[in-house]
Amino acid sequence: MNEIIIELVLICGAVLAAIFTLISVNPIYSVISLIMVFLFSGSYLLILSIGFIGLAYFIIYIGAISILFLFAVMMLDTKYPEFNNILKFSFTKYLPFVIITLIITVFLNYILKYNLKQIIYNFNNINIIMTDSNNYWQLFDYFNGGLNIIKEINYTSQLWDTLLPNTNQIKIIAYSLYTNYAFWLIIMSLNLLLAMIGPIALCFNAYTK
Amino acid sequence: MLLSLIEIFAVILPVLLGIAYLTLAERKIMGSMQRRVGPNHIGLFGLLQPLSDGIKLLLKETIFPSQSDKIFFISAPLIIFTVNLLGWATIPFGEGNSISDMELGIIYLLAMSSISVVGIILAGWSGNSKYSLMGSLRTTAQLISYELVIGLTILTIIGVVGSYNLNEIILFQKHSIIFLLPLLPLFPILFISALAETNRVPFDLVESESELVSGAFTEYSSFSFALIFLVDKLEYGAMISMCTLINILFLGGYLVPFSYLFSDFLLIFLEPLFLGLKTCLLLFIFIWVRATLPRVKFNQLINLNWKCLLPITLGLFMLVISLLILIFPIDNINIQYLFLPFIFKNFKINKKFFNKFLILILILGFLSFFIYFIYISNILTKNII
Repeated sequence: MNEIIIELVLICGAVLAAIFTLISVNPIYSVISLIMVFLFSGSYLLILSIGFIGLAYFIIYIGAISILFLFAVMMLDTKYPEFNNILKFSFTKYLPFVIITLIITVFLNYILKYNLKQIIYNFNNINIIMTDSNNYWQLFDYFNGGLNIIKEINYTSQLWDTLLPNTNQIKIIAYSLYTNYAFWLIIMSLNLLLAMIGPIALCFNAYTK
Repeated sequence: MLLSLIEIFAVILPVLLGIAYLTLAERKIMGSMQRRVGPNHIGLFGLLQPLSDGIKLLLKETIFPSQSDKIFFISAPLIIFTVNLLGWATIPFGEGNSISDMELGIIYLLAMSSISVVGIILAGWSGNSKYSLMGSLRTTAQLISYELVIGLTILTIIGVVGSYNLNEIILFQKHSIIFLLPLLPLFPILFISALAETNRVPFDLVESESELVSGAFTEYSSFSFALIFLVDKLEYGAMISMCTLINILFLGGYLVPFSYLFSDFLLIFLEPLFLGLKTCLLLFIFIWVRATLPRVKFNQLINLNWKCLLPITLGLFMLVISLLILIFPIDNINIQYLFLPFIFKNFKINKKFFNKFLILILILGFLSFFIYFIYISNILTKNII
């Protein structure tokens, strides 16, 4: 019961913050509400026991991306009135798209009706399945085997951190990223490199006076 | 519920007291290094000085600048305060003695430190002052760039240990050796980047008093300033948590040297004591650095990170990981699944001799790399600074 209430609060908070990102006129406010979206969704992932991805949300989306947004937006002069008009206009302009995409995603979720808990359970216990077929997941355990450490820790706590127990997720992500999807990883990184070099090349004027 | 509340207070209150007395310790140590007395009037040897400072701050008037953004102006110090204290949840004070012994503890620490940057930015922006805006811009640039180096050093250690759990990192060091010795080149790098991450001298451009009055927190007064002062202003709270992290990663955290001499019952009391002692040693070095070095320029700070520390750390990360892959898989994994399927299939070797040989190579490689590191850093610092 308690868990359901927390989940509801997090979901509603995420949706409300997402709406505020669109509505708020001041760009700083919208970036802050974007951060709130990440915070809520990250903690929702934590509660769903997808610990690593939830924490990665905090590190990557809040720690890097939103802060860079804030960094850029903070230097704008937000009190400039015409600027506000542009923002309002863009909001009303794209509102139908937003509503349509929202409806589509909700509808798709309703149709698919997948059992999220079951998927997460499989995600956390996938090594049980994998040990039967092959030993690949052990590849990522060989640093552990080096000195044969015996765990001597008494786990004291019974709080929410019991939801952050296993590192299997990282192993599974690494396993799939660096074996089956290695090619796509390289392609993605090349894409990002291009996205970085492209603007520099566009803005680069060596011989202007 | 009540028990966990007591647990939490048992961690937070000593941390706050420690922060308060760290300010006093800094003033005393710097005083003795500069041939003066330091605060000595209030209480015995000036021991009540932080208390009187706190009371003085609380009794002052709370001022809100008229053009400021009230919501963020009030909430920013609260964000900084809570998030910085949340990081203490994972830190082990003894074997199996922490609020929460989570498996992803070190990632949790990184996540908390990255959230606290938001608070600093908000504090800088909401005051509606040029000084605080400049200060917060500098802070974010500095924190983002030095977080990379810290993350890479932590990743190297995670690669060696094979676990994200702080307790397991310490136990690994208990069963082998503290990481200060084998990973010696990484220690000064982490220490320098910790200096920058906590905005200490010589990297205190955020609040350089002669240029920006007090950095991102210029507009704050009274209670909100006290909150920031406790945790982030002059970075006392961040300093203590950072030193504890360095301690856990490199000096073995709560490990007691020659622990087989003591009984288990005694060790329960000795372990937190040794954690504190090692952290105090690191904190003393922090203060020592402050008393010694002048401030660098901002371009030098950024150059030092991106041109000097980051490449070296990246190279060391690759070196350590590849050495580990070279040494350890021979007993434990079927390497033929990974690479070289034909060569390794019937590959047998005198393991004892081979391991000794590899350890020799490891030590020689690190020694040579350390000498190379000193050489390179000499050259680079001559060029940059």
